[in-house]
Amino acid sequence: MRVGILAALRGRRKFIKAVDGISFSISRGEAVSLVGESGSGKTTTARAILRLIEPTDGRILFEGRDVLSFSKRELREWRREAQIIFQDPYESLDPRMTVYDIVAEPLRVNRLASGDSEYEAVCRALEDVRLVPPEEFMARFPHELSGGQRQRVAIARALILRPKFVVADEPVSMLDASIRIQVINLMEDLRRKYGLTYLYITHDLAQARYTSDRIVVMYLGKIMEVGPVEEVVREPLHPYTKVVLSHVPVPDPRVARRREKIEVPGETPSPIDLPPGCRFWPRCPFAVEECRRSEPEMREVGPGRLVACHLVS
Amino acid sequence: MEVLRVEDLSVHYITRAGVVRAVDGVSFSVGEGEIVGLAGESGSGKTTTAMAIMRLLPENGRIVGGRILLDGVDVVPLSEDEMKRIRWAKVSMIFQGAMNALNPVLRVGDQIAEVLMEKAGYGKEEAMERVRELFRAVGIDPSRARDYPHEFSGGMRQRVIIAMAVALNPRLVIADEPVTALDVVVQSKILDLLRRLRDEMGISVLLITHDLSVIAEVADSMAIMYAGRIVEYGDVYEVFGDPLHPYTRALIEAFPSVTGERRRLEPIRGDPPNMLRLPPGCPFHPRCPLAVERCSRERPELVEARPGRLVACWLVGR
Repeated sequence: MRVGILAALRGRRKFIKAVDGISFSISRGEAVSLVGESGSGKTTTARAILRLIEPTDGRILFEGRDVLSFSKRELREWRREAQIIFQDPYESLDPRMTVYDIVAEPLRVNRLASGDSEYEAVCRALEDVRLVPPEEFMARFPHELSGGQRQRVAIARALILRPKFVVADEPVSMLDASIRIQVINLMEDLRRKYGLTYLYITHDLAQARYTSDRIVVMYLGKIMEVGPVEEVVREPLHPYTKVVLSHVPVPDPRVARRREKIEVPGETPSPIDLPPGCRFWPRCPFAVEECRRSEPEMREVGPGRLVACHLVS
Repeated sequence: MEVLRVEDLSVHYITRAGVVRAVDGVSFSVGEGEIVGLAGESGSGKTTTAMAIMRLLPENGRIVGGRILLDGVDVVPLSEDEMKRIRWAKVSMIFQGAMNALNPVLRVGDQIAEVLMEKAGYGKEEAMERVRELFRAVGIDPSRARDYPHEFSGGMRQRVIIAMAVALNPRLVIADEPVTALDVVVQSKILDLLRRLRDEMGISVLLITHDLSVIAEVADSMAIMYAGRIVEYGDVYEVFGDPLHPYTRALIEAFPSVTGERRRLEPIRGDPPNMLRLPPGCPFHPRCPLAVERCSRERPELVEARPGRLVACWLVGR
């Protein structure tokens, strides 16, 4: 699918261009991570793609058709083919519903199965996410489950309709470290098993590297760099990516304390009142005059390798 | 002389569902100018340990055994009045999420001045001067003392919290998840700040976190907690370089990295322990890939397996 959107959130008669004219594509069966820090616009992008919020401008092409101009019927179908897994396993499940009801809900809402076939579908979904035996988990309520188990229920619910496209918004950031890999490995196994296409939203570059084929790096509503994940991580082209990579915490003191961290001033500014020119120039250690005056175009500098920076050609 | 020495500390919570042995015989120490990392997942007992040291346990929490020696003085038997004199002055704490708990209707300078005036008898003028000094020490423009919390970014609010924690020159600062929820560049700067305060003010730090990378960045030594007990302790380079306890090894493995080989990581199977119903023997044995029969019967003691390396595991020889 292709995304080109501008999502503006209104605030006190000023516009926050949360996402400002971004374009990227995801191929069938791929896992792409949208990586960015606070204020980058990554979560807004994810929600706009699923039309959980309405973009101000642009197109979202799913299998060549613009999601933003879908009819009611096409939208209903889109909502079966595209699913989302949220960050908070404690908020995304209705506490008054049993695990069975939660996982069966998409089937019921879409009138796709009932009775025996519904029961079988729920069993299979729970088996897929390794909540076995399924009968043991069906009658439980969310509060009786651990964070990792709840997230598995959320995954089962998301996949029961066999969607084509799944958006996972920080799916494991609220889980304990020892559980994260369990859930991520599960998601990846299911992706391969069912030929799914994933868009991961994350602030965690290490996690993006682990799960994805390609990454899209965002900063203050714009894309800075795109490319195959290993290439971007080993040879970052955009100054922002270089800076972030030099600061990403590493679970190894020998590496962590010996590396050169690229120093930059201050913190990510607010997305209101953005200066002209490149979004990153006020903090960029390599900025030149040009950066202050004009925004760099996104250029293809290698196969699948895109960068928006005046210094990279 | 150690700044902090915890000896065989045990803390229980009385809940409707039963007794939770949140901290069960924990011992460790923090030396002068040392940064000690206390790592563990949720339920491991690390925050409870911190609250016990500060004597800030909730109503249903009890220290049921052990000693907590702050500069050689056991704080466990002290009265609340005596503890009030010690908090902020000898030991202070950066609580989890503190940066979001600043009083929104008071200027930040006033919030710190309050601590100085109440705890150390500073006059108003003196206090404001010290606030400016503290702001400079933590990297905030002193003129911002007149701003309100909402005018600061997350990272800057955390610096305000740190300024408050070091205001009275304590010997020890306990930092509970001081950089969670901050962007990576800001995280780096806050950790650098803690290191600088250690170097310049001689403050020791007990750094509590679930994130091993944070410990890898700044700690001198580290203790890994699981189900209320310390399962491994040692110099940070040695523990990361050669983890002895199966849980430590599995935990380090659970953190993907941007460096090194890109390969499939093996998770720890099973779920975190149910603190209301811990299994007999070693609390980790149901999830341990190397468990043998003894592990399910007898609880291993924390012993010195190598010089300076403590481990609680039957499979690690002496």
